[in-house]
Amino acid sequence: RTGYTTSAESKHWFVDDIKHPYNETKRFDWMRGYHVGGRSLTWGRQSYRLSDLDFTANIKDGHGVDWPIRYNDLAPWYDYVEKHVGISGEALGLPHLPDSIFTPPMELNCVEREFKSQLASNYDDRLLTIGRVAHLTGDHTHKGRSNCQYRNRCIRGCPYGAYFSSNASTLPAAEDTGNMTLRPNSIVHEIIYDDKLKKATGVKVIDAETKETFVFNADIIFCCASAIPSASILMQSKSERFPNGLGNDSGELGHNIMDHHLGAGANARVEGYEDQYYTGRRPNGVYIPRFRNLGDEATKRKDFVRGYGYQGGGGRGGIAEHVAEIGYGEKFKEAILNPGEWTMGIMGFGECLPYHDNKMTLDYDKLDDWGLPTITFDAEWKENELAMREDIKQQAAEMLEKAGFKEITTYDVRHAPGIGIHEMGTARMGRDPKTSVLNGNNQVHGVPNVYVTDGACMTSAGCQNPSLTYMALTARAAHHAVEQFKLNKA
Amino acid sequence: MNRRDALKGLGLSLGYIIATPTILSMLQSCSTKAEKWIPIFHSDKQAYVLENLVDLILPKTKDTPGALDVNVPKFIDLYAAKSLTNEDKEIYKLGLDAVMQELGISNEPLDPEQPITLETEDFDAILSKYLRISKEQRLAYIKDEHLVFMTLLKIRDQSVWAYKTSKEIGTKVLVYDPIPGRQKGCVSVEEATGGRSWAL
Repeated sequence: RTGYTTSAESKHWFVDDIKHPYNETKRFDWMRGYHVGGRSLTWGRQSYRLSDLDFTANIKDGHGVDWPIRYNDLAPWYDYVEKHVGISGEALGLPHLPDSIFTPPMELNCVEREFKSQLASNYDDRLLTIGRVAHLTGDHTHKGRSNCQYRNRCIRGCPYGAYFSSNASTLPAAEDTGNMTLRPNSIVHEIIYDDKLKKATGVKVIDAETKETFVFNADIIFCCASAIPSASILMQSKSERFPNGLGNDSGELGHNIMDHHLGAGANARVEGYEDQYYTGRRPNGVYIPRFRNLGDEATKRKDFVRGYGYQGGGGRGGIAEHVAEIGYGEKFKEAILNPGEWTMGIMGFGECLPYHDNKMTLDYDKLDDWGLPTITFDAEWKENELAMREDIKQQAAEMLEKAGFKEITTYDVRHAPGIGIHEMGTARMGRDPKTSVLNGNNQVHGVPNVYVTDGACMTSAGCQNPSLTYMALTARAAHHAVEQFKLNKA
Repeated sequence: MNRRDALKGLGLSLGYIIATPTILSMLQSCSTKAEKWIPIFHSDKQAYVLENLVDLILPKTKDTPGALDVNVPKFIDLYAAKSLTNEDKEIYKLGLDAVMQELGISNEPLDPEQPITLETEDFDAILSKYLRISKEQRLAYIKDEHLVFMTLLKIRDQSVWAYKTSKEIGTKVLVYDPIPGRQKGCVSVEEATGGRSWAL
């Protein structure tokens, strides 16, 4: 579905769709890894806070339901996880893209610097910054991890633990408590709800290799299997009280699937920096924060709601025009051994609205190797996303052109949803149990000892890469669970 | 024996030798570095053409090895055999046929009665015609999906790729730094590598 899921260096981080089949009423590109560490090993590492522009988006334009929390509820937990994770980046003081607690930023290259200064002089509302990434830089100490070595081989898993992964960071920290039991190859398929006790008492597990079945009992259950499997587990958890799946009084479970739409943008050739180069292979690009629909009249669009940010970068590679014309031979060989021409490209990452009819269902007629129902996707981009893509493409080209760059080409590759690998929304948070699955503390409505804190909980998508927000929500929910647990014991 | 002369000479002798390994051994014996190889995707004739083209695209020079020194034809052959989809294999085969036809080489297996009588100049002529051209001409060929052009371009680009990623070129000619340890965004080429491209 996407190149790196089958490339030799990383195919072992992705499940085989033939062994783990799913069904598509409409095409959905679902990339998964069922190993220890999961997608924390393969994520893009771009890390951006949401803001109140995002937390109030639904209530303001009427799509979806209101988030039950606001930025102030989450800000301290962003702080908390960022200190642990390590986010490198540049502070900008933008209200709609709050700064993280940053370690030193990586450096822009010469062409990116030129683009940055051109954007600043050509526009009042746009700026460019280095990507904010979960890589260690600077001189803070993180146990068992060391700074980024600029090899750009993150997709293989980092032997330095330089970018945040469960394997490098949180699992060792959990092990240090002495309270961790890690059980790989465990397929959790059901949360057991006790109709008499009116709470969940444990989970049903199948060993992926031996197919042995177990029940693990617990006072508190965190369901964090990533958006699609988490919803699937809740949907399979049927009881007298919850015949349609745990916490599904609203009928919203499995609905409102969101992703970020990408694949639209522009590229250009850049002249005048032939004597300039760079050192190190920076595992990061540049970021142009959202500048559409920021809540004021000046940025308001008639053709779409919400917004997008750009990610991209400049670099030297490929075969320059004058070299291509040499064609072959001695001079050609000499030229291709020297740095290629400079190019600069940016691609949009756009917000997707929560649509009730973008959904997943379970197919009990088509079971997998473990006898579990398979998932059927029925989701698509709609008018708002497609209108936004037009603007993404046009503005990308315009910004590159105004910067004086040459041979600008635009593209709009309409991938199916899922391609962003940012599945969200299948068990959304909300204020009203009639229209949402989780409350403001990520507890399942009506089942307070079950928390869901992965992408499933997202009430809206924002246009920012979401993992940092999942981490902050998880830390906040874990804190809440501990407080509740102590309260109940007292 | 000069490699180029050997290739020329083969034009006369090729038709009389059936066993491919022998032909290729003859070619390969001219270079001490090039590994002996038996094509697994290309036919004997195609492999012969490929070697000639690749040698002209990235020739050995005073300072740096040529494509044959780092086994570029073998790489292209292996890549075609192992990594191309069935559809791409068919397209590539059609392209090779078109190149052979333009060179005036029949698609038949080697026949002692019909020796291949091509000179280096003939290979140079086809490369010059299709690769040493203006941008406008190139775009026109791309628009037409001109088969000979597209195939030669593919061979050229794969040669560059195979050449630059070979161990010899990647670690000794280009600037190889597997673990940079730090990153500087904007420095002169002189300061960064002294002139050459980074290998990675």
